[in-house]
Amino acid sequence: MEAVDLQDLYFRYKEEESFAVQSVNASIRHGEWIAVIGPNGSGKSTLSRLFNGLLMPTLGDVYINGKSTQTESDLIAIRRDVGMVFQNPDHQFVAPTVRDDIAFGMENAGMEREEMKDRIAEVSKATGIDHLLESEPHRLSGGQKQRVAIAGVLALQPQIMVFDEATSMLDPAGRREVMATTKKLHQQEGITIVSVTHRLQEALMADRIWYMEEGQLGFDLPSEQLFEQLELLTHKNIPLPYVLQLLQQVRQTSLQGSFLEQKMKDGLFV
Amino acid sequence: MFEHVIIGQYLPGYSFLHKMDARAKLLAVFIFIFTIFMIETWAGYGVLWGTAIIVFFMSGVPFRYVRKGMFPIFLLVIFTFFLHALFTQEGEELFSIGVFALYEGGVEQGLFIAFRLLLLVFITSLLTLTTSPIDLTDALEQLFTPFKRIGIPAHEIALMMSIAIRFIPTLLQETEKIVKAQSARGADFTRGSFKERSQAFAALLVPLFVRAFKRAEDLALAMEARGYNGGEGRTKLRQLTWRLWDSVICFLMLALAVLLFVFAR
Repeated sequence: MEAVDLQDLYFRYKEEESFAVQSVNASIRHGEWIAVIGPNGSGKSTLSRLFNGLLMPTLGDVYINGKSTQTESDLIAIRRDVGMVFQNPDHQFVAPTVRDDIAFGMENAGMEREEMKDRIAEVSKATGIDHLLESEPHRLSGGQKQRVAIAGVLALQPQIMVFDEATSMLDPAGRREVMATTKKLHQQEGITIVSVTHRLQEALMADRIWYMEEGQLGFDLPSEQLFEQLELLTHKNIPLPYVLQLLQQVRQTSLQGSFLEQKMKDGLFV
Repeated sequence: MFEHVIIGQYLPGYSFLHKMDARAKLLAVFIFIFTIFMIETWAGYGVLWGTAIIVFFMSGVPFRYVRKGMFPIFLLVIFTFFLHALFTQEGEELFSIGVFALYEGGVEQGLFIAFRLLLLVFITSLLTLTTSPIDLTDALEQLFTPFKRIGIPAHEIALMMSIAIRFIPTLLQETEKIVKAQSARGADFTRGSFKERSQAFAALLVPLFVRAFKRAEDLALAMEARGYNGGEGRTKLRQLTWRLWDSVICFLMLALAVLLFVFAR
């Protein structure tokens, strides 16, 4: 069974508007990392919110582990399976301290107090915020707040985590913190990851890349193949990271530098 | 500007009062306030003030903090004193200036009301100085839960309060940012006529409110994504622990109220 299965998915916010997401057919296997890229207003954030029933499909279906988000009785289970981290670190911090905020989701699920304590200890260590448990949100950096948000989601032991531009409001240090945490979760816990991002550099950490354009899935490529499609990206006005620009220029000169090319690809994943 | 903001006026500490269960403190204060309004003799007030002062020494809070808390209502106290002193015409006339005459009964009544107000603020200040806002909301939620049946949404009120508390510093930080941004565009919040200044403040308040609404929307979405579904079936990480001492204090307060009610009303 696929972790996520999108079947002929359409969504629009209002009846009279055009579709924000249209005719999307795709699926995600367990343990995969998908990056969703695309210009502003292409429907990537909207798509991500369809994953856990925050938005309901206008047409078609979203299946999480075979369960449709439109089945009312499955929705609570689906929201536990699909964790979401949002863009603004300040707008998802509910409780007055880090410890209480991590507990928020578990409190909603009606978990026993002892179990909550154990899980808080566990997830705060996994996200590297165990020294901040008593802190108040306004004393944390953006990267720390996002890691608290990740910890809060992680405490519910989700199988799938959706990052909706979770690094776009962070400084470079915060971005590195969050990406390192994401990578660790993917590798060590085997969590399926969907990350919506503007930054190609981050997208290249994924296994597969979805390109969204005007609500449609423009292309769906394994990330290694993207190196062969650099023209496609420049054609779509997606700014390339420096290393890829260099790679493109190396290719344009008649240099058949496959050695150089390999070095650069390697460098990208360090 | 707002970096070291303390929410409410909570003063962290380890005194007996700090360690008491917030529910017990709330209950005791309720009983105390009720007693204040029931008692109308000087002897009774003497005992209540004595109790309040003992409680103050148990709290380990420096007096200047209590004074700071009481300062804003000082004007009100003076105003009500004169109101009662001038309009209660009982007992002997002390002296008169023009149409105003002071009577003995009036002065007594005025002093009495003034002491009553001061006592109220004194004891509630001690409560908020020794109880963190989070504990206070938890205690309120638990004390009001039995009244759910008559339609008091205890959980929702407590959640609203705790979110408000959590966002006070964030909103202050944001205010600071907007003040800087508007100052950079030439807004002046400190000079000019009242009209000019209130216009400058509109330039501060409008963006602040717009952003607060956007924030509320995002927060609601984030809460929903984390499975928030109302108060039903929710558990709590935070726990208040009711010790023997809490029962003793509440009992003593109740006993005091009954004794005063019988002997010094």
